[in-house]
Amino acid sequence: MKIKKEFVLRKIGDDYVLIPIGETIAHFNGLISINEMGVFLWEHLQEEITKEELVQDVLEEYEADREQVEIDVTGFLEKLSKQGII
Amino acid sequence: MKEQLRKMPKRYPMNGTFELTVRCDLNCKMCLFRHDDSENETIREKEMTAAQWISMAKQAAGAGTVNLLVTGGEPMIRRDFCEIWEGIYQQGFFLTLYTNATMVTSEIMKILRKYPPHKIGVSVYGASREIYQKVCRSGAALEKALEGIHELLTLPSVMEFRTTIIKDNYQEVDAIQKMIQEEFGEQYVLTHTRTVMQSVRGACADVNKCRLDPSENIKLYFRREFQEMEKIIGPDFRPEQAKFSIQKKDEKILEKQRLTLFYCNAGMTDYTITYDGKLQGCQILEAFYTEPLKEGFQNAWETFPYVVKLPGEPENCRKCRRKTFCSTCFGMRYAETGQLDGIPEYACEDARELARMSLEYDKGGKGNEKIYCT
Repeated sequence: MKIKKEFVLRKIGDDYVLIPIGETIAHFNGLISINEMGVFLWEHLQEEITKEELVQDVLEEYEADREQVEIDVTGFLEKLSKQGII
Repeated sequence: MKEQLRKMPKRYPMNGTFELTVRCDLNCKMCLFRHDDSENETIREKEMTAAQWISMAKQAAGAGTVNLLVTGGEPMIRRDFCEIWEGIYQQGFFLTLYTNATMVTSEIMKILRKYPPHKIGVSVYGASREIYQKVCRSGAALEKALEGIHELLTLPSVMEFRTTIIKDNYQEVDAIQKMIQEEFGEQYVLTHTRTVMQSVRGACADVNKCRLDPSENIKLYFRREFQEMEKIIGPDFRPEQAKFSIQKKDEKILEKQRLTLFYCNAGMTDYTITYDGKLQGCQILEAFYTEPLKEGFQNAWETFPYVVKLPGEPENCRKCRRKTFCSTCFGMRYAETGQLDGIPEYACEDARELARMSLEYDKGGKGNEKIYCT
């Protein structure tokens, strides 16, 4: 899977937002606020990647419990999928 | 205990307005910003170039601007509008475009299809050629506007319709709303400017001749609010049975300190870049500005609070028992009187009428109370 819509990632102070652009506005016309982990996942989703590969990338980058990472990554992907972003 | 602010806390310029021009193809009697046509060449010479606007957009994005309004005058009057729009768009803002929709060319539509705004605010001033002629000095503008709006509606942008009501189109408000809904869809509503102010920054409109008397203005406000309530409540709604009461703000909100320069978001999260390159708190208040073309956007934003020097509130305003109903701000004071501590009589009359129309008024009400309709 990968991001299939056009968004611009913007850093505002210590926060991050995703802003839809182009044709994406027809499907989603709002802002998405994401945290640092979300930014990490977002950047890795720019190219085709599996969920397991994502989890592995997170574990390599951060010291975290595998089970928790799987829950967090699944939750993030579900939210994106619900909006048709992946 | 009084606290003294020792240092301006970090502010982020979240919400920007880019005023590409104050020129416009229309000549509306009440326009806040339009100058006389004789000044057009001078204005054009002072306008920031496309390259400057794109650079400003890059800097604004780097500084933290998320929401950006592109406006005028009429922004599409600029021959380089497409170049500016594309350059701004690339920076990744949540973009709103304000336009009167009379100058929507195929070239402009091509660029807007590729780079659609998130929101478009279209100004409509009448439902007939006659009224467009009276208000905007161009009867033909109505057809152009309708055509332009149909084009803009092919974009995925959220569309909003806006108007300003003066004596000349006062009788046509309902007709404008009806026209919009019949022409473009039932889902669209028309919002109208609450108060027409004196024009600013050298603009030429003489609003005293055309703006509504405060009593008419308040009646219009109430009537339109009641119309919206009737849509929600249904045919059982009886405006004569509406009750008005003053409700105190939540204590938790009152306790929370809020730092402002002007008792609003101007200069704290909001800013305007004028057509000639000044950074102001808003499009209206010209008294304080910094110069981002000379010092860069970031520096101009950071130093803006230090150029703001405000007088105290006039004693009459401090003691006014209609304070709760008063919509004046520093921008309005300056526009109406030329003084930051001037007393804008029109706003006073407006507040008087609003108080009179309210059926319950807590005598001696404080400024932290908000009026609701129950």
